[in-house]
Amino acid sequence: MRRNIWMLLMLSAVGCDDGPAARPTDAALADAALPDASGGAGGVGGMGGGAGGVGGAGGQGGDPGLDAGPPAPRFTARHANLRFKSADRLRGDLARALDLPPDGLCNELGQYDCIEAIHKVALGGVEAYRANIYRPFPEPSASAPLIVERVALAACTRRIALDREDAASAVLWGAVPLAGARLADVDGEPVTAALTALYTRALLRLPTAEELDLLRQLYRDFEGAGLEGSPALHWAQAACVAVLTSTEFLFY
Amino acid sequence: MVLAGLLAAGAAHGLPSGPATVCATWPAACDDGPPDCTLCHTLPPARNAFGLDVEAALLPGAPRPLAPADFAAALPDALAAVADGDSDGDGFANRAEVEAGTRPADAASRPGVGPAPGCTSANPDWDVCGYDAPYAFRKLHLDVCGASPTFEALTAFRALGPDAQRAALGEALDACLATPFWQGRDGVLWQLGHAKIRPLQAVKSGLGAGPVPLANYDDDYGLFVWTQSGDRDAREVLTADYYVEVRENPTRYRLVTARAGQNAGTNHRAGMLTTRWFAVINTMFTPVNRTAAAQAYRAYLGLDIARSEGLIEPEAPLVDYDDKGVEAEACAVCHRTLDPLTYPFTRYHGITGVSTGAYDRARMTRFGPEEGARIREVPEAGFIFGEPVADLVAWARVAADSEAFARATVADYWRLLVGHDPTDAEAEAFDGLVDRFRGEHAYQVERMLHDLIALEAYGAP
Repeated sequence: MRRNIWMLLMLSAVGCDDGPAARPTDAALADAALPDASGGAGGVGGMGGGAGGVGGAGGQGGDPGLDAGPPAPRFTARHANLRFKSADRLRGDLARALDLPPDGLCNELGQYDCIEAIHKVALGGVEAYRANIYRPFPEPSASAPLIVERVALAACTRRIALDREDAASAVLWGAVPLAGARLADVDGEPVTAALTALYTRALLRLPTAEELDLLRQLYRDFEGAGLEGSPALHWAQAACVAVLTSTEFLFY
Repeated sequence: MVLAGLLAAGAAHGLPSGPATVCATWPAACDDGPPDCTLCHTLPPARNAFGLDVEAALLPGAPRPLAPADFAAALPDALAAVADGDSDGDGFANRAEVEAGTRPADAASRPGVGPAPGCTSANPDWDVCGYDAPYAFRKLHLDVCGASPTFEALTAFRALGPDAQRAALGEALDACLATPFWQGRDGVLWQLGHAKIRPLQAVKSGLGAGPVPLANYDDDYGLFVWTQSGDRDAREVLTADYYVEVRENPTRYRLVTARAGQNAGTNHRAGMLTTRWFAVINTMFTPVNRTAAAQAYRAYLGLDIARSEGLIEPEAPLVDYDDKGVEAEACAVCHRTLDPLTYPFTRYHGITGVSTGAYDRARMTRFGPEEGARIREVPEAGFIFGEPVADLVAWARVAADSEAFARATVADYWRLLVGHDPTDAEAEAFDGLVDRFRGEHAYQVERMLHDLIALEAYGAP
């Protein structure tokens, strides 16, 4: 079932046409993070996997390939110097965005910190004391996109669980009834508030109307897919992962 | 002689006439003199990416090697053929790069990318025409604090005027510099120290000791962080006659005049170069501890002798005191610099039990002839940058006051915050920062960082 969920996610929103392991060029990343007015940059789906989809700093989302209008002028960064946040900064920023303790984001086998103890070097960290790796590798490893998705999924799942346990102190999803099978009103204010909180906490900006529409459509796709369990819960998880694995979140 | 040999081989490869022909074909490329052989070659006769493109365009199909006259006659057309190409794939045409003084075979070497004339930034989120203060605000939080600011903090920052934004950037930097992410155990400064200290848990003593505890490198990290923080003079990383104690939860640092296990007497201390760990990991059991000198040269001055960097021969004969064959010409190329660089280190014990790391003026007399027929004649005086020094304390003073030290220190932080070595386009800004580090910043890293984050190289997206 989970595979179905993620396939649906990728088809409906991620726009991951280059595959999650594709490493974009600096220039492509610069373009991605500095989108034009028509959006279409900063796609979600892990490590800059593709154009379109949710995200793009101030962009309006959407896959340029689906946009029938003429391409708008693009803004090109002067330095083309986007950098992957890498292990320590990714850990810190995920913890800040989701208001979780850094060691509570993701634990392999329920006990080993995914970033600090297991995947640190693969995410651009170092292991000086035992492995003599004094400096980060120049590029993120081939496994970094998978790890990022794994960590984001675990962290989002943790945030959702906490929000459901205590709606009064919820960070993201307190006003959205995730426990029910379906959302009462995907176009309603509670959903807008939750998605706005997700964007402001993760990307430090408000979502555009197109981005809100895209994530609402993601819910409708889930609802229509006949998945087991609560589509609302699956959707909250997917929306969170989509934003936290966007180029815009992962690079700076 | 090596160069002469390579030039003599030029009939088959590049030729001495090459640079002149480049200048005749692309005059703007030679405003500062003709290009050197690295324009087309890695190590002649091997060609770099640009050289390979030129070679492919040079009388295609004609038998190789070309006669010098044929080479000279065909080179202008070959240059014309590759002018609009982009050998290194960095988005800049070869001719534009050569004329701008950057390297067309190195993607990291690119002409400066300034805003287009009349640039107006209609992008609502980023100022792509100039220094973007909110961009810098977000970036410095990630770089120095380890996490982005909040949406609310960023919104408040955007609402400020330019002067207030500059002040807020400085305040944010100060706050971040005090965080555990920057100066705590395993924080940014600790990690910067890794390649200099080269820790090895298996032989660590103290907190988290390994199975064979020989020395506690926490003392080294403590001293390193101390000298790179606050209002301290970063040169003390090489000249300190004190130690720094590390305390935990949270990590704190305290200057002390003595530490258990640290054996160098006060008058013979030279910061990181005379700690017990430095002796353990670099000198070990070696009489003439060249590895120690080479590591000091590399870690603190940015000069890697293994890469033929910093080879400055003193006016003194090279002597093979330990029968290593260093006088052989192929070896002497480096050892004429390395051995005199090493002599001041030889008076500090390596792994010798209770004396580990201790200064011992008579150390060389404790080795027998099996270490070299003249091992006991190794002098304590040596040379650094061609300048004579009486001992390691003097060596460290010259090193710390050198431009190489300042450049290496600033480059460490440039890489941390900007994300790469200074490019050709950034060279002027980097050189200026180095000058100010030695002058108005009084070698204080934190003052230099305030300057660095205000640079266009840091704050323009």
